[in-house]
This record gives sequence, structure tokens and C-alpha cells, in this order.
Amino acid sequence: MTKCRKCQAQLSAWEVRRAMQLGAAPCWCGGLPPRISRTLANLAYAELCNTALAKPVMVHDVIRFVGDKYTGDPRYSISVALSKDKRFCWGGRSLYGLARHGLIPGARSLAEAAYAVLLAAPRKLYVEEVDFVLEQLNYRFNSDSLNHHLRSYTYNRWNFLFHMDGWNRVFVSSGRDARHEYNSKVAVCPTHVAFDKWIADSLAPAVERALDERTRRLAEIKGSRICVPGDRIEFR
Amino acid sequence: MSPPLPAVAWIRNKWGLERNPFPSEGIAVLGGSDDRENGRLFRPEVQTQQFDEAIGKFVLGAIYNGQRFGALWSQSTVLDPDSRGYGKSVLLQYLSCFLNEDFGKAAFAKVGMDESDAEQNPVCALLASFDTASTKNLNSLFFSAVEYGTDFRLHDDDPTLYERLYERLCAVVGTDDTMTLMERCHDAYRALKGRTLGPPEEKFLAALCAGESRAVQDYLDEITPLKRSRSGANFLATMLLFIKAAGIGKVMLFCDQLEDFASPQTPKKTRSIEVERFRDIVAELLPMADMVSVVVTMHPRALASIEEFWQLADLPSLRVDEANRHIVVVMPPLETPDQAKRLLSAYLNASRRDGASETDLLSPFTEDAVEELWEHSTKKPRDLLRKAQKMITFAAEENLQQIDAAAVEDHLSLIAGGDDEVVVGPSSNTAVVAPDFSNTGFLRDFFCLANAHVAAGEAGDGRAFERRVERHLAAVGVRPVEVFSGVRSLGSQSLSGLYHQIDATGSTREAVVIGEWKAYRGSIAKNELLRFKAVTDDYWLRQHRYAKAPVVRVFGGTGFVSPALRRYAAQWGICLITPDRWPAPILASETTLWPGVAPDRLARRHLSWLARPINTVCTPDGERGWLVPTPPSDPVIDHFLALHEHWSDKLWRRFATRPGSFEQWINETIPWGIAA
Repeated sequence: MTKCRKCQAQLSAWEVRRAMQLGAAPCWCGGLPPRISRTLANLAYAELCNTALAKPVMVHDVIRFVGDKYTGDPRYSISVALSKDKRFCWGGRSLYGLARHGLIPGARSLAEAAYAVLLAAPRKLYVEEVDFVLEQLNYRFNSDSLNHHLRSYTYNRWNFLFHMDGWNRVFVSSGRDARHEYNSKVAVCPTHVAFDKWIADSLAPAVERALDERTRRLAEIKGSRICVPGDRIEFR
Repeated sequence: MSPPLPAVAWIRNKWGLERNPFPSEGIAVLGGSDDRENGRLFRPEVQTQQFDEAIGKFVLGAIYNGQRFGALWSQSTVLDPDSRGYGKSVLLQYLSCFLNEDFGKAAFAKVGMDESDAEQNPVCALLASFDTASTKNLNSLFFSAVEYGTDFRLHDDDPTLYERLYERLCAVVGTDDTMTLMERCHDAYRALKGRTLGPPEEKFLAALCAGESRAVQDYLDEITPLKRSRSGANFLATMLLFIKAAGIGKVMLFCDQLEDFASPQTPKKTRSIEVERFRDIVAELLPMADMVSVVVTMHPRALASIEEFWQLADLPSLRVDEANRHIVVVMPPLETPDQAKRLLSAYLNASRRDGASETDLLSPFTEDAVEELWEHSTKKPRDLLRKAQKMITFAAEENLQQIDAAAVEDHLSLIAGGDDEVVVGPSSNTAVVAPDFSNTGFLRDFFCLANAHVAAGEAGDGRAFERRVERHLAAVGVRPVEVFSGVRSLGSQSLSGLYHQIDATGSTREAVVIGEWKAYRGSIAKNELLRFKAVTDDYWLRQHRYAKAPVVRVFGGTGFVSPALRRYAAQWGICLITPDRWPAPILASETTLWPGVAPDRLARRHLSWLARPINTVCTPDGERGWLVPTPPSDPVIDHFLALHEHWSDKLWRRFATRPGSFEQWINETIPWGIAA
């Protein structure tokens, strides 16, 4: 996992690779580096690297940020610039950010993001848990859409299969081949080895943290003398 | 003897009042024209402490402590579960006008801050209220808040907030040129560094910057209800840019009647979505996240209805407890007769024909009459006002010169008509039960109940056990449920057409539970389990298509079961509960935290197999019939049962090492079940 030396932000493999291609430092938190072409994607990336931005932003906000720096009307090509460039991560309808904002690189739909979460999950998850984890990763979406994807009511472009058990818990095949197939389609990382490492070092801990956080928050709902409404029974 | 005067004539001519000074309902109609009913007669002197607390916690907390949320509470009393009528709405209305009058200067001074502090941190307030008619979602609420800012004035000759803001903006910019003012607002938008809802509503912004109050109101009036409910937040964002351009960085958004939004009539899904939207708009989207601090009115039932979503959406807890005391203000009942006198005198003096009298502020009431009224009221302002209204009516009909304590006492039965209440002791924080209860939590409690029943020496008393269980389920909020659409408690739609008795059906978070409670001293008869299985199958075969969640069968209570019975229950996925063995789903649950070594993933899977939803043991296969999975061999089942035994014993050993700890654990887990 690469981090920016200056702002300590987490960088995706695509950000590092693109920076190497351009011959610049991988994080542009200090603004657009000198001698870098002022393309719409580069300008947008530099803006999104701004440390003041803690969460993904809407496309119209990106347009606002780059409006006075880009020669031309950014409205016409911003969608393509953001969706094609793998440095940017999709975070919901018209919502884009970077890996540092918690989003999954390469994923361009809710199904793809949910599938990655389930690949990294320590167990089968209830739909509400998947919803919560994605929210914690800064995805913003309609819960119904997620439900439809997880129940396979809705087509997803890579035909990822979600399974549901008798308790309405969702799981996906998370073996090595399945992981690598996912990566070859979604391109989270340039190599499968890097993808496995990213799951182990980055996504899986984030998912576990989110699940623990959910349990903790539910446990905080007091009011009855049963401390935890059944989500966690603790024998110390 | 001359005939008595009509009540109205008596009120006007003898008492010198324009009309009955008190409201008949006492429900604040914000924006209404009748001063008795619109909350304009609110006097901060009545509940001074709460008013000052509201300024200190909500306004100063938002400015200096960065608080985004606050809650104005009224709590339940023993006999008043609705917790309404404490004056939350009128306090918010008054506070918002108080802030808007001079952008917070008077409020700062009231709580001991310097004028320079107020000048550095100007603040204004918007007020909106949920209702069940048109303001059901957040966008509509935000639109109402914008309308409040442009329309509302506490007194007829007061300027609206918008008019004050426009004046301030012109002073800040140094011109009243519309284009310049608009440009200043656009600058504020461009300076936002983060996610927004999009560019401001241009037409609305133009209307705001034109400085014509009526034009703004007309523009907003023409917005269709559909657009209000979809784009209300955009209007609020635009208004906020206008406020920001006027040099005001903090806006209090008071949201009243949250109970209408959080009522059980609002579908759970809607509540969940709206709470998430609340988080997105108020805490993440600019300029709201920078500028807005929300204060909601709250009471126990409203909290119970939204707390889970609120908590999961990363929003701060609004409970009344020590940890939240900096963001919570509780409206208490009127504590002294003096408060009652101040409350009534405000209404009386507002309706005196010859102006307020300094000598007798309470006339036609005597002081002891007010004390008598206060004594026999619930101490809530609304109740006191209603009683005073009735008392005035009755006394005027009887042409009483004045209303003294004796007159009040004579009419007690009349003025208390339709009342619901007398406050018993100080208000207490009514327990709020979690509306959703997990399956493992339910089984844990049921296991505790069985043990408590045995410990109470009532092992053979089936009726007592049923009462114990019912009492507990009611206390923790496991609702009786229609298991399948249209049929309550598995009523009459079995496959065979037979009507079967079922002890209980309930809804937990993950499943519908069908339960059969048994209270045996010795072994539970095998016929009982066979019958239960047959009955539940009979219903399942007919009604499976209506089941909206996994259906789980739970059988047991006190008594013991033979290995053969356990094998049979395991075969059909029926969860057996007996006092001597921990329920398998608890041992299997990933959310059970063990003291030492826990069952591994495989063991948990095997344990969870012992209690399976009915849809996994008898699965409909379209038109072709039913799929019943091949039963595992006896050794396999015995292995699973041995696993169950092993892990159950392991847990027992944990309690055995600390004598008395099991009883203590039960006491803490099912306090109400113990006493049953």
C-alpha cells in the first residue's frame, strides 16, 4: 500500500502507475506539478488530491473546481474523463473520488463495489451490513438498488453472481480464481498479486472495522436493560 | 333578580377582556393569526432556565463547539406517554425570532457574552415543522424553512428574516445592485470546497437579490408541491449562500414535530432513507455542512422510532443522558405556581381591552385560584392553559365577579373532563425498547426465562411460564406479527384446513419466530414435538408464499429432552430450548463473543445447522412440488449434537468457576422476566 509522503494519503496502484508514466510524484496534493499537461483528467485529479477534500464529490463540483483552470468547457467531457481514468474511483451516481476517500479503484457500479466488499468480508453478510459497509466506504446510493443487485434482480455488466442463504445473508465465491476473475474484469489493481495484497492489507481490515463499528453502534442503543439487542452477546 | 348576562358579554363588559384569553386547544399553530394559538404569547420568563439553556447549548454550542445537532426534549411521565404540551414548539419559535431580530446580539448578552462576540459570530435561525399532510420528507421541510425565512414575522410590523438579511447584504457589499449582489452569492458558491447539491437556483437567487420581499414570496408560492419535495434542499442551499454573502456564518435550523416524521405510520424504509439523507445533506453537503446546526424536538417514542437509523447513519446520539447533556435541553413541567401565574398573566394581559393592568395581572383570577388550577393540572403549560380556558368559560356563564380557589374547586370535575392525566412525581425517562430484536437475542432471553422459571420453582406451571414469556416479549418489544399476510397467529389457513393452536409468533430482526412454550418438570413428551412439527408444516405448506422473512421454529422451555428427541428436532431444523443446554444458535453466532477459545468457522456452521429456517428443510420447487433435502445419517447428526454438547458445557464451565454469576447474568438480562 503506497502512501503520499507529504499528506499521508493512501494511493491506488493506478495513481502510482499513472504518475510514473507522467514522470511526476504520485500524489498531487500540492497542486498540478510543473510540466504536466493541463488535461481535464489531470486538473481534476489535482483538485481531488486537495487535502481539504475528505469525501468524494459530485461531477458538477469537479467542474466547479477546474472551471477557471481548464481552457475549454469542462462540462462536455468531464464524465468521460472521470470514468475512463482509473485514478478516479466511482462512489455513486455522478460521484467520484480517489482511493484515499475509501472508494474501490476500478469499480464503476454498485454491484462491482458490493462484490469487492463481499470478497473481503470475514463472513456472510446481511444486506443491511453490506449497505452499512459501503456507506462507511463513502459510497452513496439508493438502498433499493443495492438490494436488487444483491438479490440478483438487476443485471450487472460482468455477470457477477451473488448468493443468498436461508437467513438472507449474502456471500460470493471468494476463492483465488474468483478473486482474480473479478480483478481481471474490474481492474482494481494492475496485477492479481497486487489485488490479493490490497484485499488483505486494505479492504478486508476496512470491512471488518466497519462491521465492528456497526455492532458497536447498535450496542450503544440503550434503553432496555439488555445492553445489546441481540447483535452481540458477550461472555467475559 | 336580573337574568344572568351571556358569558361573552360578561367577559367583555365585567372583566374587560376582548374574549376568552386562553386557547381552547393549546396546540401551537405556527404562523396562525390567532395570538392565543400561534405561540406568540410565549414568555421566556415562564421557563427562563430552559430558554437560557437553549441559547447556551444550541446557539453557543453550534458557534463555539461546532455542534451540528441538538435536541429539545420533553419526557414522558408515568401517565402521559405522548409527552406533548410542554412548550417545545413555542420555545423554538420564540428563540428563532429572538435570534433573527439582531442576529444573536440579545441572545449573546442574555447568557453573559460580550457584544463583540455577537458581532464576530452573527447567527440567524430558520424554523420548519414536519407534519403528516405536506411536509413528510426532508426536502419539503427545507423548503418550509426557506418559506419561514421569507414570510414569517413574529409581530405584524416586524421585518422578515429575509428583509433583515437583504439590508445587511447591501451594507456589506455597499450597493443594492442586483447583479453585484448575485455575483457576491456566486462567489460564496465558488469558494465552497467539497460536495454540493449543484449550482444555486438562479431564479430564486435573482429574486432574493432584487430585494422585493413580495416578489420572493410570490416566487416561492408558485413552486409546485412536487418540486418542493424534490428540490427543497436546493432552495435551502441557495438561501444559505445568500446568508453567507451577508456575512453570517451560522444558521440554526429548528425542526419541529419530528414525531410526525418518526411516527410508526411512516414506513421503516422511508425513515431509514430520510435519516441517511439528513446525514448527507446536513453533515456532508455544502454549504449546509459548514453553516447549519440542527435542533430537533424529541421525545422517547420518536427516538425509539428512528434511533437505530440515526445511530447507523453516523449521527450523534440525541438521548437524554450525561454524555449528551451539552446538546440536550429537557422541557420540564411547570415547577412552581409562580411560573403558572406568569404564563396565565401573559395571555390575560394580551387580551385586556384597556391595556395591561399593573395592579392585578391575574384578574379575574385570584392568586389562590391559579394555585388551585396549577395544583390540579398536569403542570404542563398546555394543560394549564386549557383548564384556564374552561374555567373562564364556566365562571363567565355563572357571572362570577372573580375566580377564586373555591370557584376552581367547585368546577374541578368540569375542567378536568377529558383529561388524561395527573403527573405522578417528577418526570422520568421512560424506557425505550429497541424495536428490532435479533434472533440470537431472542433465544438468549428465552433460555434465561426457562432457567428463571425453574429457579422460581414453577417448572410444571405452564400457564405461569406463558405469562412470563409474554411479559418479557412485551417488555423488549418483540411484536406479535402476522406471520403470513392476512392471518394473525397462524389463524386458519393451514393446508389441511384444521385450526391449530400456536403459543406465539413474533418478529425478530432476521426472522419470523414460531414458538411453542413448554413447562415440564421431567422429560418433554415426544408427541409434543411431533405435533408442533406437524402443525407448523401444515401452515407452511399452505402459506409459504406469503412469508416475507425466514421462518424459524422454536420449541421448549423447562424440562428435559431425550437424545432421540434432539435428533428429531435437528433433523427438521427445530430449535430446542431446554434449561440445561445453551441454545445452538447462540453458540453458533458470529456475534457471540467467547471468554476464551471460540468455536471455529466449521463448528459454528455445524452448530447453526441444528436450528434452520423452515424454508431450508422444506423448500418449494415451483410447480413441481417440494424439495426436502436428503437427511444426513445418524452419526452425522450425532456428531453435530455432540458438538452442541461440547460447546454448551464449555460455556457452563465459565459460569461454574464463578458461583452466582449465572443468576446475576439472568437478572441483568431479563429483569422483567424474573418478576413475572
